[in-house]
Amino acid sequence: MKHIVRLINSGLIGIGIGMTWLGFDVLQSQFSKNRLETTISVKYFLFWLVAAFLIGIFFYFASLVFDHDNWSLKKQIFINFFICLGAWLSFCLFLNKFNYSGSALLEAIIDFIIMYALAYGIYFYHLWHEIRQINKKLKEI
Amino acid sequence: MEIKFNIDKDLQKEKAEFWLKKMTGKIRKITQELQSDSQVLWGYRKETAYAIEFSKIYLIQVENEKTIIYTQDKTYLFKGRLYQARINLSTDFIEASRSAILNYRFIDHLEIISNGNIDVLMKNGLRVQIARRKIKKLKERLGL
Repeated sequence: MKHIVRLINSGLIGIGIGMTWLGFDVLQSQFSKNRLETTISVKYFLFWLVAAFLIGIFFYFASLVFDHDNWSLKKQIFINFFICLGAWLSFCLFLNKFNYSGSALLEAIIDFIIMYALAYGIYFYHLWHEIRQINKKLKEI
Repeated sequence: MEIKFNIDKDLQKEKAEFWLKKMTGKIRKITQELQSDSQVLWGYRKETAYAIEFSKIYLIQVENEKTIIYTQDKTYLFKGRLYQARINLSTDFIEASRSAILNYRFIDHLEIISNGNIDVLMKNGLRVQIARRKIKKLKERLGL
């Protein structure tokens, strides 16, 4: 039950990030137009809603790599990075109807590295903050 | 949670009563602790058995498939598996990883080491790795 809740949570976080991403993407594409009148089709919206949920669930499974306590964090991140990158590139290929081009591939890789670096930058900052908070509390007791 | 103590030295039998919305692991653990008379673990040194009080135990760790009990300056062999040692331990103990249980009252500080893992430095200088997903438990125990 605990795993199902985490799985759904991960999917919902995926929807949160995906919808924010979609919102920025749609607004950016309407740069020269009145953004208040921006519309998207229901089909397009639903596709991204489901895709974002599934990506969130995928990230949950990929994060199981971090349960291997006997692996160092470097090794865990290294493996997690390539699993996620593989899945991301497959997803981008699917979106492009399996049309392959060097520049599209490069763009997808750069996008992924930015997203991954952002996510782990936030994660490590949070971890560093948590440890500092714990050490402060330990000094008090 | 509201906690109320009624202390009466003339009381014939001590009892505890809980008013809960649901049973949780934490409450179950506290109940076990209250019902358990044993506050010691048996550890061996040179084939001599010693009763080691929980309050003296810093760390219990599996090393080379042996369960070792660490106190401030001594080590003892526990003749059993880690999960068997864990059953009766008090709430001062938390799992640091699948192979180590530590007494949070003896933690000096935590360190993020160069490979990104987190080490716990105990007050007697012992160093033990703590899994990141166990940090949440430690925070709860510290009231954070």
